Amino acid sequence: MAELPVPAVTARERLRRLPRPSLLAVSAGILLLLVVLVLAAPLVARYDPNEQDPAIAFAGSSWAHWFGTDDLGRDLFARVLYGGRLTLLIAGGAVVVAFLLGTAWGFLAALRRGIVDELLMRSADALMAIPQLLFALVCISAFGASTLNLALVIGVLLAPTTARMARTVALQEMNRDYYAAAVAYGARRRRLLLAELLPNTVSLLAVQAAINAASAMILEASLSFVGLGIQPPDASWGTLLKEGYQFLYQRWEYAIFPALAILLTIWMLNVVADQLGARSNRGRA
Amino acid sequence: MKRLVALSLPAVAAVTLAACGSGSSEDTTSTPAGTPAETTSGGSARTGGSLTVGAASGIPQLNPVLKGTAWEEALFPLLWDGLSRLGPDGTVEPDLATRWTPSADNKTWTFSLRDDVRFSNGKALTANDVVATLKYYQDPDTATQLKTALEPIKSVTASGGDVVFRLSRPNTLLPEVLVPVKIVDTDSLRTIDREPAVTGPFTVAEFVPGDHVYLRRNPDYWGDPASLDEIRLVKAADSTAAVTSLRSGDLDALWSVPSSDIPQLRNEPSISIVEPEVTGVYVSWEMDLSSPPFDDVRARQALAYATDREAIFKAAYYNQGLVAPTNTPLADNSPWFAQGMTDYSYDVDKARALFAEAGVRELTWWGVAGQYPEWNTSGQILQQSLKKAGVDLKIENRELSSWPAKFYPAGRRFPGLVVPNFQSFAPDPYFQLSFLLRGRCECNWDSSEFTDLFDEAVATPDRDARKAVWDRAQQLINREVPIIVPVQTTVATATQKDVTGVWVEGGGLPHFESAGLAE
Repeated sequence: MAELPVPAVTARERLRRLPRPSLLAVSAGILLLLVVLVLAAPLVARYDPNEQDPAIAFAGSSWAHWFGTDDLGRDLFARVLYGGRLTLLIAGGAVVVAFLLGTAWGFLAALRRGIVDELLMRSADALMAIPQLLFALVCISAFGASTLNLALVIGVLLAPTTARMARTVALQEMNRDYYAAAVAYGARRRRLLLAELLPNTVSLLAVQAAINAASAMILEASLSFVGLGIQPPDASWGTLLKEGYQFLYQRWEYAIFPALAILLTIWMLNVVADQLGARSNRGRA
Repeated sequence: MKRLVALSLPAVAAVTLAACGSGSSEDTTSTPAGTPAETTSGGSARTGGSLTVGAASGIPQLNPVLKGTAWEEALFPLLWDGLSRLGPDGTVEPDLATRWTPSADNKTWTFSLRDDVRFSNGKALTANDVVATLKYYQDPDTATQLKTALEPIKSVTASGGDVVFRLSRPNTLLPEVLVPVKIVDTDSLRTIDREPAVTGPFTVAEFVPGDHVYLRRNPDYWGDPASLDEIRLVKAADSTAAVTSLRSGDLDALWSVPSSDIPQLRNEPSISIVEPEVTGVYVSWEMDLSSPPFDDVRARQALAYATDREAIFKAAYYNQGLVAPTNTPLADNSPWFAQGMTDYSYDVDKARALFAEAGVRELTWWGVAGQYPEWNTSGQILQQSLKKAGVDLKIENRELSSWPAKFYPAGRRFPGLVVPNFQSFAPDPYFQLSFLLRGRCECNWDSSEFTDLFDEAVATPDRDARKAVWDRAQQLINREVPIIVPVQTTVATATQKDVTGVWVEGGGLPHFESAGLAE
């Protein structure tokens, strides 16, 4: 018997046959890379981000200064990395605040129903009706612009949206058999909340957390852009963007790098949220 | 609200005089020694056309008596006149007055009025309008920044076509003092923001507070009619957007060009930078001298030595203006600048020693968020310098509306704060130094020696003798360091090359009264 000729497999074909990473993995990978980079800033950056050297102010990109230097001769690569730490710290803090506050808020409304539910949800509606940036400006003007205050204020602002989401998913779960069984078994409210509802809603709340992280970054950048974010000499991406914007005609790169960092992070966060949401919906279908 | 209006403040100033000597009608005895201001091309202008002038801030109201910001003041000479005015060469010249005469003791001044001036509502201008306007300025309920300047005026009376000023103490500079005083129709104040009655070369065609003011030529103006049909004063989104509009030709002129953009704009073939030869704008960092640690002169001198003026001049002000090593308001190219003063050039060792003697370990920089990037840069340079001198400087930038509440008006305590600000006045020492008088400067400097020297200088008609007194006043300021003056800077105006007749006062105020478009 003559053997059938085996067609040669081209490199392109081999590449095509490789298992494709999911969009979720790619976006999460990029996010992880960004987080690792900014966390490793002291190892990666070769300069103190706040050390001034007027002699090299506005230096262009070079091997010594990859992103160039700013108006005070500070290394922009180091400032973008360290700025990312503060930006992500504030966004992360805000997400935690929003998650804790919003989840408790929404679950309480779902569990108690009636007048308590009405009161809690109408208050969430009222808070959501206030323009976020305006509210944040007033709070930061009153309490000062520290990292903690920024995370708290932004977290509180994002909590009502989380509360709405938490209430909705809690009500859905409460109609499921496992929840009815737990109730029939005589489980106490605390157990229902922590052992039944929370583990079964956390994937959907994670989607909201990713969306919140993106919103927190935008709010922080907006506050920094009007000068009420991180105070000098420290900088966040928003602060760097604001500083760079003043020098668009002198050195456009000054604004571009922090802008790209913000854009990339928010983009990836939104993709992650989108993919997580789609997966969660498929799992429930 | 008086205080809100007066809080103006970063632009606290902008008093409009630039002459150095006293007034100059044909029969005055003083010597005008003004500061020539640079003007745009003097080429012939065609009649007609429209000029669009931009700024990064808007004009909130039209009443010249209640002026709150420096940019508002650019509008006022287009609409209103005073008894005296400043000419492009820096001398004070008659405006609504035809002449003025001081008494022998310089305590009574008589101004003779023109008889051919009408407000745009048809009412004839009389001496009674001048009296009513001055009363309005001096009314305790009127929130005007000129209160201190007009305080020596004891009474104002009308006598036929003359107005007689009686002063509480001799003043040889009254015509200069009166330049920013615009004469208004006090009977129509209620409609001043809708339909102001004006005497100037333009009238208001349209006004949207905080956004734009459109002016059209006043056909009944008593002087030479304006070349332009229309001037539009518009607000840009921010200073970067304003520069972009100027470059693209959407703006014919831009007031207060950011220092960082001036070097590049100078190289633009289609753009002219207009600025005064001798500046009247100085950066002032204010401290509270009535509370620790700055009630100790050593702490103030230490801060003066810790201020790296050269670095600030280069990085924050882009070499626009002059470095002020003697820490005094007057620029060293001013004919009134005193010699023999201590040089406070950056010396971290002296600063460290003096701070240690005064026991200063930490300070706070109280700036404005999102505006005045040069302040932010200066604060960061100072922060690094102070760190080397063993002092921690915390930078707190607050929203503009809450920024002055801590230290304004004078008399408030703000221990340990360094508050950046700037003052824009005519380059004459009378205006430059008047900011340091008791009750005026938020720094709370209370020096009777300085007040006595100031009064003595104002009462001295002879220019050389007056300079000797101003010298002693500057030497006192240099010793006592009531404020930190790192640099004298300029407020520049940029115009398209085809714009003619624009000039700028020492304090940075642009004049568009004679502006036109080249043929």
